[in-house]
Amino acid sequence: MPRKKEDKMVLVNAYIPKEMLEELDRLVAEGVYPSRSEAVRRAIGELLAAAKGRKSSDDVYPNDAFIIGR
Amino acid sequence: MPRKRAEERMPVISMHMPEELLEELDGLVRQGLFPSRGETIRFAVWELIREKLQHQQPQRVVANRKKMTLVSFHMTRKALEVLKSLAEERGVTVSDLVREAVHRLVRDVAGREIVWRDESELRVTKAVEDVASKINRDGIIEKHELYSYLFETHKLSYHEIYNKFLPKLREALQRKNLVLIENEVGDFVVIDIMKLVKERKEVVAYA
Repeated sequence: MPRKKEDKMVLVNAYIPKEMLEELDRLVAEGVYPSRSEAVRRAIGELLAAAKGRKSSDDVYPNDAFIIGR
Repeated sequence: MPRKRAEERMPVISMHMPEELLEELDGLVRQGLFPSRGETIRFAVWELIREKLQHQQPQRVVANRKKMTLVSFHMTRKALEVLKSLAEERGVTVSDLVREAVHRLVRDVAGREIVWRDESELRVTKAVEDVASKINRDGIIEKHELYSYLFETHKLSYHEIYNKFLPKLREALQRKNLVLIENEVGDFVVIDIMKLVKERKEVVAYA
């Protein structure tokens, strides 16, 4: 089934400190996450979920806001 | 870094679970909160581990703002929109949010707290080392000269000199048995404690 427009993946670039990236890579090397990208997606997912938790209205963050990649 | 499929890196586990609980899990998947049963369980397990790790003191990792690395990843258009709206709401950039997110993840999952190296602290420490290395005996240091040197060579502000530099310099000098005090015109007087004690002994002996 073709993906909906909103489910299409887009490439995102961000700058993070070298030390932070090394910590991410360590988690990947330890097998906690399958890849660096997956770790970043999980991190963002949790941030958005936490932000959503602080909101009184769900309109700002839709229910599936923290499904950010598969 | 070599990439591997998630399935290759993650061992399969089978477990017994009450049907009611399984139905609840499937309900979360149907609602679109999680893409699959597996993802729901992994999320729950991580929440459990994170909760446990939160009680432990995180180890500090010092990061330098000047050494940033580009990280690229894919995410859904919809999630990016949500991220952008959150960035707009907080008045920050998407990169700021990514850093915040990774910071939380590393802290909660790996138990390591990323802290920024304070650039002001670095400048002050350098200045203290420099000035302390030049003061080896008692004497007077003119305030104007010292301040000009600190402004020009170490780019310190008045605030940094008063609140950070001078207390640290006093500590550094104490280790060399020197005391720094201000005289009535505001210049700094360096007193050699050992020399003072010796002189006092001589005075007592003479008396």
